[in-house]
Amino acid sequence: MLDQVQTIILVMFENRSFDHMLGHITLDDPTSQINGLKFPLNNYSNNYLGHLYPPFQLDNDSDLESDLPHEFDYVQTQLAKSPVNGKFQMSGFVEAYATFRKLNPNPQCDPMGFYNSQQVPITDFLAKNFCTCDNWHAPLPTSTQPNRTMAFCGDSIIHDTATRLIPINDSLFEWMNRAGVKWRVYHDGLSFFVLYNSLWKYVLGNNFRRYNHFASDLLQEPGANDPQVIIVEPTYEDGPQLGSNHPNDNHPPLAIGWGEDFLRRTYEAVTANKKRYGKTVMIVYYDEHGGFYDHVPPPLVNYTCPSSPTFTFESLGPRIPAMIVSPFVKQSSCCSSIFDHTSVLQLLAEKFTPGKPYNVTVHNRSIQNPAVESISTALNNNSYWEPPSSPAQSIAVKSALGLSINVTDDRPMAQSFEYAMKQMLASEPALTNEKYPEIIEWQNAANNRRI
Amino acid sequence: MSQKGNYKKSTLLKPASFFVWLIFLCFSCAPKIIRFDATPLTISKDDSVLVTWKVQGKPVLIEHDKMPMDSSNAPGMYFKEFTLVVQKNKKEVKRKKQIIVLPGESKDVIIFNTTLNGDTLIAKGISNPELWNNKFQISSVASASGRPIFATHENKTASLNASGILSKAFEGTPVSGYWELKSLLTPQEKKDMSLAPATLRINIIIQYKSQ
Repeated sequence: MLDQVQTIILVMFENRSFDHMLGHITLDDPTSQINGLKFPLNNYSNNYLGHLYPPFQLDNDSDLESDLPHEFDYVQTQLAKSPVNGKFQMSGFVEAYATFRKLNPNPQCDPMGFYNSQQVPITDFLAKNFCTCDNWHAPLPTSTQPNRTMAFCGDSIIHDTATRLIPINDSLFEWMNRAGVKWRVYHDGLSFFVLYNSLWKYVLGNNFRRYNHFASDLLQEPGANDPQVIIVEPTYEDGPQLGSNHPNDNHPPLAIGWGEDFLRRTYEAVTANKKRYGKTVMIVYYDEHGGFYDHVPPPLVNYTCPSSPTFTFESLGPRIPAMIVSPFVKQSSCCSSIFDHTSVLQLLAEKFTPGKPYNVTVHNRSIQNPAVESISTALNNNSYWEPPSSPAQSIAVKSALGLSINVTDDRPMAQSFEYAMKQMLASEPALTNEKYPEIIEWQNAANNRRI
Repeated sequence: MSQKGNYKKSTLLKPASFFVWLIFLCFSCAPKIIRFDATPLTISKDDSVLVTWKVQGKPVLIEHDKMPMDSSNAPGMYFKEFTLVVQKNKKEVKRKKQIIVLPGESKDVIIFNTTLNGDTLIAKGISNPELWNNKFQISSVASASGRPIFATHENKTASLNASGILSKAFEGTPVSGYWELKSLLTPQEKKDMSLAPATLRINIIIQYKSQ
């Protein structure tokens, strides 16, 4: 099967949990095999100061009041490991939110909110038509930087998100180069990989290409030099807003509609050329749960960051929404194998270096009990089927009174992006200017906005 | 309603004060909600709610009623939702406050996480004092954990049997305050602690007293 796959496309969004995005599927259809939410919702209640906080459907798609807590200590509160029975209760999301925001939470507070099928029409469409992975967890019970680093390096020296350039010992790009794999990154805004200064040589090189070329590139006849692995990046909420004023990575407090639109454009581009699509596996996933409630306790997976001093995690993170879009998956199927982001790295190793694991960390996860499996587990369909057309409905993002929502710039991720951008500009002014001419424009706009 | 003033007439700015002004302007250009409060947070349908705020920008208050998705735990309950939207310089920020509206008699749950002391599960804590005022009093309580619970609240105690029969032991006491729930481990739980519950909960019947 894997030898028929010619292109693997990775699309990673930010900070949403499985139940938050896809839990509604089993409320709409209780016979669905997907492990989502079911009535009565009180069965999933979190408890805080003696009272219950059940999940609820969000009113509409508009910006949330704030980001949600998802650093390690907060995630431990969210997982709520019982000192009595040793099990994760998944009942501390409201408590973490109340502590993080220093307020008395509303009976219906953001971490317990979930979308319905109309609010996330493209995610819902992909989940219902392709393969939904309902046991895919973030690789670490912590925040963005370590989880993305695990996803694209297979190891993480860091255990938290801070204002920094992220140190790494190896990367997926280096691995692909060593394996002779042709690859490309399409980025809608500033690439996340600018946060790794050891990767700037790639970020400023020809393998990093603007997203507006994505659809037209895929329409071309397949050729020998086509990339075998493609990473598609949205515009990040925390990053400098280059060009469009709409980030679309789904990072809270951002409304979800911009990301839905980006996902639809990406799906339409991937399926437009049937010759290519017939040999493509597109994986849509999220870096971590972002502080939103999910009801499935993560499996125990011990991992010690190779840092000094070391930092040890005892489990995966909460579930994230994940779909595999490909003719190699069965139509409207569900895969409940345990996945985390290193499952993608397992797939790449099986495909491009058969018999040789990606690295020790990824291999250890694949042989532990319970094992973190490879995405290839879900690729079990031998006969081609036509991709359905995506929903044509308009996607509206609402604001309370019709104006754009103010974005704060004081979070570590936002500061990291800005710091990385300035450092890259200072280090490689000519190349940076050529690759990201809007940076100067953004800098001026940002300075004006702050005055 | 109050709005923070952010404009002051000035004649000649000295260089040092110019930077103070610049910093001040940086922080005052965006809409901001400094404070947004609503009290009380739980009411009966004829009660009033006092909503106050302090903002930078033009405030708009939106109010509507909202039904819970699943009211099996508290039939007749709904939310009164206040959304404060503040606009300034073509930007807006918002905050939401939900008030719980209860019928004259309502059901709810008191729940706390368990710890272990010898053979006894203990679940204790303070019921959210911001959520309840003295107009809402306990009428009766019952075990909701399918096991016997020994409950303590407001210097009163009650032995609640496993079958969930109502007890009047706490009648007239407030919902808020310190609660302690205890329950012995079963023989099966002693052999396999993974069977022991992570929470203990009791059902409470709440009576609204207008006086």
